[in-house]
Amino acid sequence: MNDANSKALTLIKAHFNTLEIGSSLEFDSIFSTADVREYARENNIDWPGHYVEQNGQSLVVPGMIFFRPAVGFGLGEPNPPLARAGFFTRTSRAFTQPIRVNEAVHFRGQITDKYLRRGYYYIVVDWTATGVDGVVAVTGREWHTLGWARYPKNHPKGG
Amino acid sequence: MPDIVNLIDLEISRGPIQGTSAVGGSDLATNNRPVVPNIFHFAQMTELLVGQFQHNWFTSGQLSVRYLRPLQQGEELVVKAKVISYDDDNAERVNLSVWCENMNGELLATGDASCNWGL
Repeated sequence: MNDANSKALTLIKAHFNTLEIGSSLEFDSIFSTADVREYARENNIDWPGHYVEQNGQSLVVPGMIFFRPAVGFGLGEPNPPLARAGFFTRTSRAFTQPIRVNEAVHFRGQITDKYLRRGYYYIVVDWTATGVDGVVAVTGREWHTLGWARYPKNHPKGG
Repeated sequence: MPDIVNLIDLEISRGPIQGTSAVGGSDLATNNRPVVPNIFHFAQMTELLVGQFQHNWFTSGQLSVRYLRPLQQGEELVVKAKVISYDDDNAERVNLSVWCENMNGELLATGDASCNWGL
């Protein structure tokens, strides 16, 4: 392993060891018009396009709903190996009601699993997004790595 | 919308779409080339499905995706979906296979989706 990768893995492993299955976080957030427009621009999404209710209310693009909270659990810390939050390997979402632009959303995330596999440290997080009416609008499960660094394939932990 | 009885094998697609957003990462993971975050794949899938199911997607859509291969910045992908069955318990709900591929036909992500079709 090169020095940069070893250093990153040391930090990632230390962070991984602090994470506990069952631990959770909650916070409120609002998707502003500017937030959604920026996401749509970056991802070539035609917004508002289909994302308008009959009353003219603009809706949040489904793909971005758990994008921001995915950097929870320390993944957004200004620690170079972790700051990129790794990469998603699986995503699962179920939508039950739309989330409107400029309306408050309550997020709750809970770590449901963590493991070392094929050289990467992973966490699995279950998320809910609840609208202002108290009804869960979206549920999701995200599988993602901690950072980008991995053990090489010839390392005992790399296979 | 087409009649529900005619939906099996219906194919829809979107693209090609160029991946321009980029995320950094270690050289080991990215071969020192900026890659497009996997949320881009997911964004294209949901855009395709929202276009097809419209408001029903926001109230009954489900999508599970496995990311297989990163898209390099500047590369293009195509997202496709195919209706494969009706839901066993709800005749107005359809199940789909969804996938993204690059311009070489290599799979980037695969997934399963379902959504109510009726208004």
